[in-house]
Amino acid sequence: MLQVRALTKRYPDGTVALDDVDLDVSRGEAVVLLGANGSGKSTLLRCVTRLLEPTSGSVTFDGREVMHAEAAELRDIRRRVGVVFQHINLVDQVSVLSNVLHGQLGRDGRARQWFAPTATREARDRAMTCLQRVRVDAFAGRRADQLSGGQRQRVALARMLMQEPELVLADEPVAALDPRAGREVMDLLWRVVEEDGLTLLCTLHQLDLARNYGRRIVGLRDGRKVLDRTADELTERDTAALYDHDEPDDPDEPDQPTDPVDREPSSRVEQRPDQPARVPDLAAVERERDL
Amino acid sequence: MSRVELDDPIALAEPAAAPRRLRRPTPTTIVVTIIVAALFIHGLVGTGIDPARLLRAPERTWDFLSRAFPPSSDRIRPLGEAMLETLEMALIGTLLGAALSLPVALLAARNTSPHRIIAFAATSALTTMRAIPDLVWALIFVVSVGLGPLAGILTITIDVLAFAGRFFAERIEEVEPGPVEALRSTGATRRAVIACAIVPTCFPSFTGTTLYSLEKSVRGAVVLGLVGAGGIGVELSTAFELRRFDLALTIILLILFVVIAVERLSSTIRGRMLAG
Repeated sequence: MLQVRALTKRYPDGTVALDDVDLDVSRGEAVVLLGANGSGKSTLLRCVTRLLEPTSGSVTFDGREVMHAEAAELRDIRRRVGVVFQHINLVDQVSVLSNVLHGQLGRDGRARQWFAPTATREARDRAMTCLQRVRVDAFAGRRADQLSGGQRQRVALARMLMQEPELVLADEPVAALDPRAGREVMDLLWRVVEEDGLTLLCTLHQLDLARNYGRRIVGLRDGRKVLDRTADELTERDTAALYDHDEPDDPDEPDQPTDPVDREPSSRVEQRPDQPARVPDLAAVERERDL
Repeated sequence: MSRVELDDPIALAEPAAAPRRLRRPTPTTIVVTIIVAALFIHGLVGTGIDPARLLRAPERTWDFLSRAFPPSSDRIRPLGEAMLETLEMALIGTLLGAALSLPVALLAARNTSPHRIIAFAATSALTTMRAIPDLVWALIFVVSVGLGPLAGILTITIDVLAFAGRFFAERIEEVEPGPVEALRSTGATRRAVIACAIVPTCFPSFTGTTLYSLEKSVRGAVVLGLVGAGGIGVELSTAFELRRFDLALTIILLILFVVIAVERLSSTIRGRMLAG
């Protein structure tokens, strides 16, 4: 379903975040990408649908070449790929229901579908079903910023479900949550992926979570793939090799050019979240690609 | 044991000399100071300020005050209508200006503009509109649409657009990248991302700026009448010309009341919005 070949991402400052990475994910597989902070996991996920433009290499999704896709085709590919973010990334100023409706923007971009009050009945009903599957349907009318971190990430899961994706990219989905909320979100994520027969690529930096949830574990270190085996085959030596170079929460990671500020100050942060590799400013992001 | 060893050479050495109390001014400072002082003195001398006139000022002011009290109520109805017209000019102009600010700001903000050249053009247009004072705009509009409130409304529209357009654009440029990226990742079009992520995120700030513009416009609308652009200003200038200071005082009190009322109302709403 997903073939990544020789994918490389070099930032303008010279940092190599991804170095010649190959990865194959077949339909229905759930793969955990494991690695320390700054190992290139987040960059890899962002490069798959070109939210971040890779420097070189190729990505094929369901037989379609992502790198050469024009704007409209790229939007269609993105529509089939749901993304769950570490920073959750809900639009805080609108309702939970509106946020879930945003999931279908790629499929139905009509202006009336932009906000909950004007959306079609069919869309609203489907959004409520998505919320119900992750058990936050009771909060549909609230503003998104009135929810706890765990509830917010569940709303983000509902938004992903609303998109009806085939592939799910989850980038440290529980790093900003406390352990209990984190486990609930992980359970829900794995359950919906299984129920809907989705393909999942999930980055994690906690070894225990990776062992508990992942069947296949791919390890990244310094932007290179250094490990690819089933969870059962994983040895101490394998995992030590991923983390031995320094402490996982070293703030001076070369892969984090900007913004170490955790944008979830309200949620308790038990594990220091792996900062995703961000390009320096929004303008640079926009230059990378159309909005 | 203390952290600093007793025989630590650094702890025992004399500290470095303190910095000098005053620093020698840079050549730029000297030049700027001389220019400012020269303009100040030239202005005082050139305008020929006559101390005798200043000495007569209290007497003349007393004359004004004694004629102004008690404020006259014989034209209260037309004055009330003129005040209402002023308020409506400010309201219509502000809403039009704010409504135009949104598309212009989207063109001007670097992260939403379709092209850098368009962003530059929009920003330059806003800067030009701001650089021209509102009374000058009013004079221009009085020429192009004639005397009356329409000229005032157009002036206020331009004034608000120039001010709010810039603030809207700055807010849009500060928008958090996370929600924008989340919506892009669903395959949403640029238009949908702007409508669903950028505009709602900036909306509280847009409303705050618009309310502030309204306060500014009410004050601005009062003086627009002085150049014939509608509202109560024309009544005020007539009252002064006819030396009907009692009428002038009524007008000033009316203005005071309305401006303070609008400011109070607007800051209450803004305070509530910030609170929740």
